[in-house]
Amino acid sequence: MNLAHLHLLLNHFPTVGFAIGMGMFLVAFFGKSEDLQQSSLIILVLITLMTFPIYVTGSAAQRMLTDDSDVSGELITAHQDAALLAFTFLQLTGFAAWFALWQSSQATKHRRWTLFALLGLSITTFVLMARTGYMGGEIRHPEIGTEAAAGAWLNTASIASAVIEYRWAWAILETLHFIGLVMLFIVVVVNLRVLGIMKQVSFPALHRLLPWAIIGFAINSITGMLFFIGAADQYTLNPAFYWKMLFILLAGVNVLYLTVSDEPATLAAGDNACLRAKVIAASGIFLWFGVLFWGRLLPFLGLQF
Amino acid sequence: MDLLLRLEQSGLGTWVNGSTSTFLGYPGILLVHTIGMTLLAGTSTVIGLRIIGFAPQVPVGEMRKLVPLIWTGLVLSSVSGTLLLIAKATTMIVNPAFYVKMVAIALAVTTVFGIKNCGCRDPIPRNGRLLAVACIGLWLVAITAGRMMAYIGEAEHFGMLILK
Repeated sequence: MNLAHLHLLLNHFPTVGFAIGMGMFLVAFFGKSEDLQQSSLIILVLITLMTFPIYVTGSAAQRMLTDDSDVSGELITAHQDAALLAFTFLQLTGFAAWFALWQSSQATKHRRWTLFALLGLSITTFVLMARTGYMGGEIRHPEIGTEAAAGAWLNTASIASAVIEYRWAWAILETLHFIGLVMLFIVVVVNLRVLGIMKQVSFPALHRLLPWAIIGFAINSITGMLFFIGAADQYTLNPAFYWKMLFILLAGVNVLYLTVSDEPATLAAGDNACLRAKVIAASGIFLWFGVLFWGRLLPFLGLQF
Repeated sequence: MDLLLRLEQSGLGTWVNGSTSTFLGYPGILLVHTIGMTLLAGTSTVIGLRIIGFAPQVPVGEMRKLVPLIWTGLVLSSVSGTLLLIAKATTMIVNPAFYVKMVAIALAVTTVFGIKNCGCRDPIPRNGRLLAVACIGLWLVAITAGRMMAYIGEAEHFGMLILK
């Protein structure tokens, strides 16, 4: 099995999973069911996290297929541009879904607006994802369609050349990536509270800072994607990069746990967390440092480039 | 310049530059330096955000318990930073971004002392908030300058080696 196969294997998960999550969200939104809504938001966040590795394996698949004379490079480029647009909207949907989950733990006033935004975002994302899947299918089965690569709105090739050619682009993106990393440290501190440091602070009080970490995550996913688009070969050929993707996925699950689980949410000032919550918190810290580890050592561990 | 060259060629310098080990060599030291940075700036950010007024339900005095994380970060990053400086002495000492970074760090650490002694009090004094904003801002300057050290001056090698 190679990465192209992995891409073909994985690529149906987000489309199907997203459809399920969105369907549940729509039913919950109009049927006003809180429990169903909570579950649908969790699914949408998980699907968003899963899409990082899928996008990345797509780029690896492209590398393998470009040598194949049977496939059209134009169709691949069109699929890639469509994927980038869908990915961008999926990220926005994922952030909105997480934010709605966070708001329900904080009893804030403006949650309805988040849900309305999520309604629009999720429908748009679904259309864009379906389009991406269709265009991806055309690569191997050109007989199903005739839609040629029209000028895409988000053009992968021109983004890549901007990242590489503009003198300060890479340095500025790196700086922002480090700042995002520092903001993500808030996740470690929230996990430390579950482990018992600052026990006099109730968990919900500290959890209130978590959106700052998510802003850091957003900064890093944008800058990280720009690095990836700019110099894809440095990453698709590097095992450390795939480890980093896996660790991000699992660290994301840790953040989701902090936001939705009742275990830490009920910790009042002075309370000790249960063993399971502590194990999950400790693994969250391990995963966060793991992401930093793979990211920092990425240029040194993968020697293929 | 002679002194800088001698530093680079000293036992420590040649070890850092010459080591082929990932962990006991340049990459490992960079990793420790980055972890130190997140402990320093990350913990300062958490304390700073609380003092500025986010997460008002958190008792501000409890934030003092996070200060040891800052000192741990300071030890990790200054030890690793010294090793990196010895190994790259001739290029770093002439790099203007290096001096910006050092000044920003010195000021940021000063604000941490200030925050620990008078910022973490309820009610939060006015200059406590000022210190918190300054602290976060100074870390941003330090990180930016630190990153730029890899891209300006003698250390400049753009092109194939864009990953750093």
